[in-house]
Amino acid sequence: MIYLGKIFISIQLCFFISTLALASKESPKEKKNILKIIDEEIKTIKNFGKMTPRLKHRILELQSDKIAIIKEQENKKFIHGIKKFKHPRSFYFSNSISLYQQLIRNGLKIIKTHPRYNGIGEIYLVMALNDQDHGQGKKVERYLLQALRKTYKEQQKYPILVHLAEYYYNKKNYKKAVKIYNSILKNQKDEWISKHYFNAAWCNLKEKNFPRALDMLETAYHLGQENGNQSLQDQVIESFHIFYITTESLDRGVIFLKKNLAAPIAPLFKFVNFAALQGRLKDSIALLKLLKNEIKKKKETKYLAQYYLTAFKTYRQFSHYKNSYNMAKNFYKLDKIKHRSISPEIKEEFKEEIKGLVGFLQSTLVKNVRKNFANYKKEELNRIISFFSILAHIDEKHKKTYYFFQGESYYSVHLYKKSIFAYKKSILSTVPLLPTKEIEKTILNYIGTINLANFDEKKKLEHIEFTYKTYLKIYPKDEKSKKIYKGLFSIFLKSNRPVEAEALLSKYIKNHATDQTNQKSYILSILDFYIDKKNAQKLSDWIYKLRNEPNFNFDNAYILKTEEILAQILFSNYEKMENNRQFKEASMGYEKLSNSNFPSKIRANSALKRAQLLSKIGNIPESFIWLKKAIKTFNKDQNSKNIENYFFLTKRYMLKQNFNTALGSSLFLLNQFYKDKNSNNDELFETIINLSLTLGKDIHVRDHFKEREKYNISQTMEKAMGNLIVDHYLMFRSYNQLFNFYYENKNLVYLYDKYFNVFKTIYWQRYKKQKALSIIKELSLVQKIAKSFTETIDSYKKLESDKKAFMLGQIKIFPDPITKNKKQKFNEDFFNKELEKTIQELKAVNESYLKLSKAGFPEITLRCYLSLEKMYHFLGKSITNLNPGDQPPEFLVPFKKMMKDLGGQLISESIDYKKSAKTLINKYSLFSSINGLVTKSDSISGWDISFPVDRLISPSALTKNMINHEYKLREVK
Amino acid sequence: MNTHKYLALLLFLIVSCGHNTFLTKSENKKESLFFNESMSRYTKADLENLITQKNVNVLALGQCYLGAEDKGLEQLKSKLNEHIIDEKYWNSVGVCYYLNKDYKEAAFFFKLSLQVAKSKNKTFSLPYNNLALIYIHTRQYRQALDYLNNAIKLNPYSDVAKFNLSQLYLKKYLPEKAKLILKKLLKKTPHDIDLQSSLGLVYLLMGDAKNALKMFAQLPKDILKRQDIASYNALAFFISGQYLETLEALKNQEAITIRGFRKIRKKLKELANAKIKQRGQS
Repeated sequence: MIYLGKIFISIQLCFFISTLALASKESPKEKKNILKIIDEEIKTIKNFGKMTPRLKHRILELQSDKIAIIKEQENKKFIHGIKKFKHPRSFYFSNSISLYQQLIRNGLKIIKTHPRYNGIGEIYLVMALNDQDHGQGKKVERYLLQALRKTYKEQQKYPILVHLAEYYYNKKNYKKAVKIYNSILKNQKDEWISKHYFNAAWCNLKEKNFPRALDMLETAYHLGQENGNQSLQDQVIESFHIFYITTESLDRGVIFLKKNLAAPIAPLFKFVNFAALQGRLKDSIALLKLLKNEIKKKKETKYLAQYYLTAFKTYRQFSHYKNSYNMAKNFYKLDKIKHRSISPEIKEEFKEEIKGLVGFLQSTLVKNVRKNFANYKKEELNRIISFFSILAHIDEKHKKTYYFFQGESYYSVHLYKKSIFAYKKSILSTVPLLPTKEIEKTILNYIGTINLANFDEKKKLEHIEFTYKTYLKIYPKDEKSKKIYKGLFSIFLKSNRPVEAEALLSKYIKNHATDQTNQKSYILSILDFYIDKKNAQKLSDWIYKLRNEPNFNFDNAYILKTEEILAQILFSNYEKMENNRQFKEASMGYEKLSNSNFPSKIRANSALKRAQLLSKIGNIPESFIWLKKAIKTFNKDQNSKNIENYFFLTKRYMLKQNFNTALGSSLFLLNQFYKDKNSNNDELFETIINLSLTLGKDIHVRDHFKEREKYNISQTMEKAMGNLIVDHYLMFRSYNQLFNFYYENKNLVYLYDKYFNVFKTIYWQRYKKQKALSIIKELSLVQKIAKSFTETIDSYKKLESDKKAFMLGQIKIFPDPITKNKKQKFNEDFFNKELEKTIQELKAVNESYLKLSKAGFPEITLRCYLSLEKMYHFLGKSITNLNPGDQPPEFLVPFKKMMKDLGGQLISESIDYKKSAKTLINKYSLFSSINGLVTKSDSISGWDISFPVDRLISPSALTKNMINHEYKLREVK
Repeated sequence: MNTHKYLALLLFLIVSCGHNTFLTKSENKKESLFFNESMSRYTKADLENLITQKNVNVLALGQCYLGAEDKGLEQLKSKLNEHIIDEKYWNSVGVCYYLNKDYKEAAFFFKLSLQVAKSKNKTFSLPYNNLALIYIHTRQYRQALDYLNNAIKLNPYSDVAKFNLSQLYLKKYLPEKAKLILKKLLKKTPHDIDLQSSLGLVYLLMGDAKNALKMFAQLPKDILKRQDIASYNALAFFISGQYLETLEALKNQEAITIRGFRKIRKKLKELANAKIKQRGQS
């Protein structure tokens, strides 16, 4: 049974081993089953009855296996639990520790109980391995050495030696390990022989047995390639660089690699790294060269990135920053071409390497510059900047950071402008712009540097604007932003960009909705800006907003004031249009304003402006309509202030030759404003009279003149207008009007002289003589000269009548008139008496005429002369032609001669009077209607030829000579 | 320019516009005393040439003298702002109204011109001459005389005012005074047609038919056809007993537009024919 039991156990054991071998790969559930099987086997063995050392040994082995499984489970729990709970390690491993202690106790008990048992060596080995794995490891060496001692078969000693060698190896007791490996390596049949060589190589290396170490390493490599041996090729290859470089056998290593390795490039990288690590500059450089050649030779471009990285690191190691930079640059170029073929790990590492280096360089630079600015070297800065540029390219995701550092680098060496451009680049590279400490710092540094950069004002503002805008994009709502808004707002307005200012204001209102104080302040600034720029449209839009958006809550007085300014601007705009001769547009503008909802003053002003413009362009009737509209809209005070403008407009109507409207306007103004202190009633009155006369409204002239008292016209103006009216009526022969005017204004003493002269003029003309004379007679009651004239005229008339009678009467030659037709005898005495009487009469009339001629009225003087001339001529001729009838020749001849002489004398007198008349005419340039009777030659006396050629009018501007004459004369005067 | 054509045009103007103007248009500017002072003597071509002038006074007056007074006035109105205190400008406005026979308006602007000059403490003679013409038109000769004298006093170089004064003297039968002026003016331009014909009239009024005929004989043949000159020439022939020549002068006389000349023509014809008949009988 025992035998069967052994077989069974053996079978079970075999099964178990195979199961255990798989245990590590089993699921927890299966592991539980294995533990169950182990426990069942232990139980079965224990149920055999008496326990042999072999069975005990078996139980020990089973316990060892159980501990391994339980420890594995505990380990999992530990890993899991340690994250959640804070139990000590022993808490999780209590089972395995307990089992381990039990196993040691059991092992020692077996050894003690069965000192001659031939499996004691194995039991020590189990205990050694369990102490190593689950205990404190302090007794491993002792148990292994006991195991060696209690093992007698060489074959069984071998694994114990391996364990012992590995133990020493692990405990870095290379000397002992070397000794044991020397024994182990004799067994070339071990499939792990390559591993043992490799371990032995390491031990020799550590013991500085370099040739042996290298030999063993190379042997390990070769043995690993042999069939049947476990291969540790990777580990061996991984170690080459350490061995060959540590042993300073670089050439041997390179030869070995080239000879034995199909792909020597990868290990060569390790060579380089290790050489660098060891501070072997020369070797490092040589290795890099070799590596590069190798990559080239084998066209292994996939290694280029790694090469650059390695080289970068190597050069950095030896502070060859220039070369490092070149490598970084090459890497960047390669990255650009073969971006996808470069592994992310290499890229990441390279990035980190560069970052590390540039960080170092930058901090060094800053440190040096701070110490002494003279330490600053341009090339160092350039290198730093270039490194950051490369980083920005190969690590685009973080380029904003690299640009920022560029900015910081420039800043540190006082290159502020460059610093600013770098900051800007950093900001521009930040996508999306989100609130981070980094961007905030960049913006603030940027802002802080602007003033240092010594930009011209325009550039400076550009940069400030950029930073402010960026800041507000990210932090539109924070408290600090208020200041930024203010600054940016100011920039927009200063640089004439109201649209952007308005957009900013909208943004401010959106983000700082409750801050009405600042909102108002900005609105005021915008309004001021538009006022300054005279932008009427914008102002108008804003006024609409202020009125209709309750949020703004602006004072109505302010809005009204703004409206007034707006109107002024509009005026000025329309005035500009006027000046540019855009009359239609300007006129429409004024019309629009006057029909708007602006305050009445503005509307009235607009209407007035339109009236003025229309007058300017000649649309006078329409202008007057608008003038009336303006007057109606203005209040009393405003009208009073504007009166001068209204007068000016009226004058313009007149000067534009639209007399009817000018007259209508003048009457309207006088009627409206005659009581106003600013009204120049005299001037209006003058205009009204002048225009009424010019328009031939003679009746109206008189009516207007009658109203002079109502309008409180000054005495001077009244006199002037009275004279003007009278002169005008005379000039244009409106005699009926003149008479009527006289009758209506008889009492105007200041016109008496004028009246007299005018009516005297009319009197000497053909028509209305008697009426004129009757007025002069009226005047004669109060006016001396009129009286004198009237008396002179009366005397003259009487004389004329006497003259007529005288002329009708003949000199009586015969005494009896009754016998006149009969033959009567000539009575000389009677004749003489009659002749004397006639001469006396003539003399008396002559004297009367001469007296009248001296009255001071040349027209009468002329007529007196002519009457005398006629009388003398008539009498002279009559006497010359006297015939006394049948008389003796002795009487008749002397009588006729005497009469002829007398008549001749009278005719001569007559001629003298005519001459006097002529002299009078010429002397006084007398324009009498009877001039022709005096001045015309007798030969054409019957011919009316007073039709001279037309007169010449004088235009105002012809030749320069004439104008010069005019000017010369003016100067002289 | 062809004289016949010109006379035809002149006739047309007289008939259509009713301008009682006999003033001779001067093709030969050197022979016109008034060319520098008045456009009354300008030919149509002269006036049309003024359209290119920049000076609005000249330009607009050209239009007014061409009979387009409205156009001329509009041109002047359009330049009001630049000329509002320009006495010459207002005189021009007055001239246009005068030419359009709007004498009241003309008088208004001539007076305005004087006012403007006065406000600038300047003297300006032209409006005086022009106002005088309005007084002549309304037959207020005494006032016309005063204005012309004033014009001459202010600008003794103004031949236009002097000539107008001579015409006023002739109108009021003061030939000796007219003679003094005309003789002086003729010294400047001995071949001025209006001066020559006016002096002829002076002689005629003074009964000096011989000198009158001498003056008329100096005039171009075409000018002798003018209704006024032909009448005076014929009368001079009649007075000197040259009855055939009287009829010949009347034969060539152009169409008469003034009643007075028509009367003279009729009477002269009758008397001359009677005398010729009488001579034939004797």
